[in-house]
Amino acid sequence: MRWLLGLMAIWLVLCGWVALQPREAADPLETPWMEVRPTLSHDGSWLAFEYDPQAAGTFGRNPEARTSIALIDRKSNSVSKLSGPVMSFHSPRLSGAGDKLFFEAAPGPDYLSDVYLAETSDLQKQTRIASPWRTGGHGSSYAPNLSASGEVLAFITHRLSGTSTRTWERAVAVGTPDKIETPFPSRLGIASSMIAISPDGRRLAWENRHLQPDGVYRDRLIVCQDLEQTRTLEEPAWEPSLSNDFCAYVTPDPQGVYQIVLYDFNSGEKRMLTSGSDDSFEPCLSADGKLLAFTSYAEDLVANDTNHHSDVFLLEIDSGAITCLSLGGNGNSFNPTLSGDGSTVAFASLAGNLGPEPVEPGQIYVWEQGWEQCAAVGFRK
Amino acid sequence: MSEKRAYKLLALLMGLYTAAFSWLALERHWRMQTSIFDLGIFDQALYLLTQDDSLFLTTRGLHVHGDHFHPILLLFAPLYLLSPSVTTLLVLQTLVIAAGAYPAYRLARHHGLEARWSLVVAGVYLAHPAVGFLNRFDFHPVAVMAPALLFAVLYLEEAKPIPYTLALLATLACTEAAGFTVIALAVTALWVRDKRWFLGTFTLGALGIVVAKYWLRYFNHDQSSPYAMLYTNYGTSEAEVALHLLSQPLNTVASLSTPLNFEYLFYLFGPVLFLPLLAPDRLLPILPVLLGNLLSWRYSQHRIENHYGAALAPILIWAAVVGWKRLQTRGVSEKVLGTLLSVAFLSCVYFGPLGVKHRSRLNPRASLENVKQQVHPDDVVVADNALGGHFSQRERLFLFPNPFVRVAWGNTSGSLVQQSSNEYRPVSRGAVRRGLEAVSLDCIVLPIDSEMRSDFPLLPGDSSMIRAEVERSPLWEKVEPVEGDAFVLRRRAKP
Repeated sequence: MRWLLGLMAIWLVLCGWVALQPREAADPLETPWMEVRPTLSHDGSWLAFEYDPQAAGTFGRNPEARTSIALIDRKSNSVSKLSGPVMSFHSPRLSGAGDKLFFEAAPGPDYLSDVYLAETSDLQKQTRIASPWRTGGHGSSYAPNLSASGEVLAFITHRLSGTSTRTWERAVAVGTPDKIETPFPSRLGIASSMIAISPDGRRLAWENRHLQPDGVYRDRLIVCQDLEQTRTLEEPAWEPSLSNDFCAYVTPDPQGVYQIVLYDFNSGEKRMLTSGSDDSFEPCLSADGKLLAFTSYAEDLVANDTNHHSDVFLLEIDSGAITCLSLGGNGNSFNPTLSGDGSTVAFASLAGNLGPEPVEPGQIYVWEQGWEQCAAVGFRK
Repeated sequence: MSEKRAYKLLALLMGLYTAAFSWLALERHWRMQTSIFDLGIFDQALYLLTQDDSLFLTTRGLHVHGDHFHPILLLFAPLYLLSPSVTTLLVLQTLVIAAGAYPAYRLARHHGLEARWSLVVAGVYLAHPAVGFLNRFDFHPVAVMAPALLFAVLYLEEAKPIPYTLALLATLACTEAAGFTVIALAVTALWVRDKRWFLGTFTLGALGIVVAKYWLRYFNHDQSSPYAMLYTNYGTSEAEVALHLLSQPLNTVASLSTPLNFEYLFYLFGPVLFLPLLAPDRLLPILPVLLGNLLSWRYSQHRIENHYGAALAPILIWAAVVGWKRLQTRGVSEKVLGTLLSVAFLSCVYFGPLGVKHRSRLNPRASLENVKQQVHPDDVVVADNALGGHFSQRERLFLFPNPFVRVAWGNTSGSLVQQSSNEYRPVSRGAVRRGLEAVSLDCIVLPIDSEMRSDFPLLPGDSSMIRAEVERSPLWEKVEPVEGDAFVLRRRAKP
């Protein structure tokens, strides 16, 4: 018995030594920059985007890092922030008039994400828009989008479709803020992107990831008119953006490079808008479908694009004239959004040299028609 | 049968069990059916504990002690120091679980069962599905709870306070929920012994809960454990949940009466022929964890194949022994009782991991030797969940698609939801490309065969999309030759 106790004592001493030995300080983890998903009102006078109030990155060692939403009234230059001690806010979307802000927040009452509606005049006035799929522990809602009037709303909702098969599905929830339905469940596959809505609220488009007979998943672009019928617009294709008559989306060219294509709902014609040597994506159409903002890694879309970073471009679709808004930027520029009237572009950038004066890397920049340079409006603080 | 011979047979039984279940656990590992969640996490935790590295788990995005309260993990450290490998962990876990056969045998003897039937009781413990699957499913420090709790109830029955206290301390060091089991055990102690035993046990249980709560807060940026959110259907605090369940009994019964729960209860009670129900006084300590499993919205807690039965099996065995004894005192013949125990043993084997149903689910053995040679010991690696246990002895191993795209990271409620329901906010291909650019890691290791890969914590379609983006990225190149069941992508040197 004594030898057993002795052995246990030695064992415990060893355990104590392991527990108490001095340790190296943790190295910082490299952090991918967050997606900021900016959104503009129709005339560009309101701007909202995600930011990290702790400036701690979203992938650091701090599990508390939460995202918030900043709302800027560009006329009065006033800034309001959505924040809370336990909540994280994502995916802001402004109505055309800039009076409504939709966003997702987590944790909700039962710790899942929900879509909320707030008045931009008072961000504390919030209404939760619950998913019809909400049950205990399931039925999160995220990635909202809305028509210009703010009366047609769509988002993704997520649930368990069957306990025996353990199939999870994401569906498109659509309706008015008062009444949401899930008309397009996952028998079509899973809704995999932010859902695009045309300004008049008549059309929806989303990418749909589905399993093919050969066991490979592919993305197809689904469009839906008047909430009555859905059809596949193209496959593979993704990241749709809608005006009332056009749909811009991303599809690989024969070389596998991602290009942006425009589909005309009236004529049924498709037109490739980019032909760069590297990927173009994140298209955003103006309400009339005449202007397109997008991100591209291609360096042959405009002259003198030699910064080896992704840039944000503005394309006049009819004339084909392309302007690089982040030319010479010393970091990636991405996540562009275009105001409905096409007057204003907002985008995120890791470049600090796009404005008149150098700034810290990691900015939201705004560009307006007629401007020669962008203006930084802040990002992390 | 003499006592000496019985002990020899018991040792043989434990040896056979250790050999069989070590093989079973290792076979799973060799067939890529272990995973980062949870073998890779604990392997990396022990690797960090036994080095002078910081204790930040990159497999989970939190401190080694920030997710669960399991200081018992340190007990494994000295042997891991001598032989740092997954094999060590899986074999040690089997040995620890096998040790529970000894108190199971002694409990049966204490209640007057003959030596041969007591040996069958030890066999029932070892073969019970809750124990078998606990052993088979990766590595969890909570596995220590099965033998520790059995020792505790043995010493409670034998009225040996010091070893009883030590066994309870070991139990409490296994998980933050153990305090609730110990408090329930205090009520049983009042029946079995007296008020002093009740008070002592209750105090230990309550202290265990408080210590675990503050321990987790300390190691988790002053945040409480997110696991309380598993019961948010009923309330947002322990008190609110209890009040809801008690004040709305019909709703509670409805929540418990699901096909999934009935199946789970069958796997717990069926193999022991429902004998524990004859001893409800001894069964009481099962309630906190059992209700926790039955009421949680997390699917895995309702499945016997996971490790959530660690606190249940010892109490079931205890109650089954007492139930068996009560049948005997009511005049049921020894022959019938012996047959009952033998059938219980056989049904435990049938419904457990050795049963035909579960054995047929094994993948073919994976060939990873060449892949392991292509990854250096100091490399920072991102790996598919199914491969994680093969690369977890390093300071930095990430669960794919982390850190390029953040999923199931840290100790937040969102992370828990993602782990439980594959929920994931879709990101664009551009975001994946930017993530791949931003983080300079050394290697990404992915299985070739879709049958062998684990898409956890993503839905297969989302996982496929990110995987496709990684494979087409100009920043990464496939290491040749590709031989075996996985391939390595290595970051290209910067021009």
